[in-house]
Amino acid sequence: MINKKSHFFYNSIIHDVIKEISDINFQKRIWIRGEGPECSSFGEVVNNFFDYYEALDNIHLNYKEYNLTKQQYLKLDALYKKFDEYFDISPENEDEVIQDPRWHEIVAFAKDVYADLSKNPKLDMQD
Amino acid sequence: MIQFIQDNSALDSLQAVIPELGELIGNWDEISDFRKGELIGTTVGKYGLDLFLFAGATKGIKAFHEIRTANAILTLDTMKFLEKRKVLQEISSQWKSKTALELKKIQSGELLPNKELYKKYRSQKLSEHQVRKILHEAESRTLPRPKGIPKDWEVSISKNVKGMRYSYNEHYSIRVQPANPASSNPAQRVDYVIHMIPEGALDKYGNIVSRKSMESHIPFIEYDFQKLIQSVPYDK
Repeated sequence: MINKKSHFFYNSIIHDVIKEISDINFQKRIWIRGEGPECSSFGEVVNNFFDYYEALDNIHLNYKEYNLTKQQYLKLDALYKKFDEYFDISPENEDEVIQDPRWHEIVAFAKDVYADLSKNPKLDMQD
Repeated sequence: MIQFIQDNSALDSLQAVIPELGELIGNWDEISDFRKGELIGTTVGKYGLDLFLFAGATKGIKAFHEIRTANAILTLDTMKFLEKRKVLQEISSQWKSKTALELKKIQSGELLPNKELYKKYRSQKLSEHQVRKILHEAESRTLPRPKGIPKDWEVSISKNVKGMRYSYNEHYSIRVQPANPASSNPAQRVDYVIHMIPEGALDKYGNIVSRKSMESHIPFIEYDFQKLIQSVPYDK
């Protein structure tokens, strides 16, 4: 049975924001070239990821309520910390973000997190 | 006096240095009347009744007189009032001077505006007045508060310090973003609003759409909070 907290976690954080962080082609197509049909930006990902993650109910203690193993939680938290560190030094311009090797490291790490966490039996999720 | 506390924006700048006032104003709709009384009593006891005079406005003076009439023990003589006013002015100026210093550093390029501002204020519970003041002094444009957003929704600075976020809780929030003329996405080149609910975002008609859709970026001039909460109430 999926609780509301867990539903929000998978729907908004994993299958939305982390998926976007992990997809450099999406970022080039939408953030830089604005080809649509979607609409997003580095700033929107920053706002959503940190707002959602920081609002989670003591995930360091309650990770099981989100159907995470300890290892998965630690990986997710590592992504949060890496992204937070990167945000401090990130360029203002999205073109520069996309070309930044430090951003590419975050993207690769997010890809790994997404591949791991999206396997968790959870939701009937739309892409 | 309660009406005065709820309405008076001059008390905003004191919230950061008077925790009881922060709790009182920030959680007005959640806390019990008993707790409100307790907090008002503690605030008056610790900082003096003239806090309400300091906050200015005729209503403040009226509130002052109401309490003084109700409790003669709290009556202040002129000398004490002047002394206390100095203390209160000092307390109030602390927040302002601390903020001004940070903002000056940001404007001079000594600090990076986005990151430093956000980190500085992320843990502080700020009023809307304070959020706007910080953003304006950091030369960020803010948009008016969409009509109908309840008073008890929390206001915060966006992590990228380009907009303001009003939130009922982590699931229901409204982000008000000024236009980014350099954006490659047309929907971001005008002032816009994103109205989030647990299932995703709402379009301007109240339909649930993906956060990443064009429709979730509602032009500010077309955004109608009251219409949307009729479609998807936030407190259900």
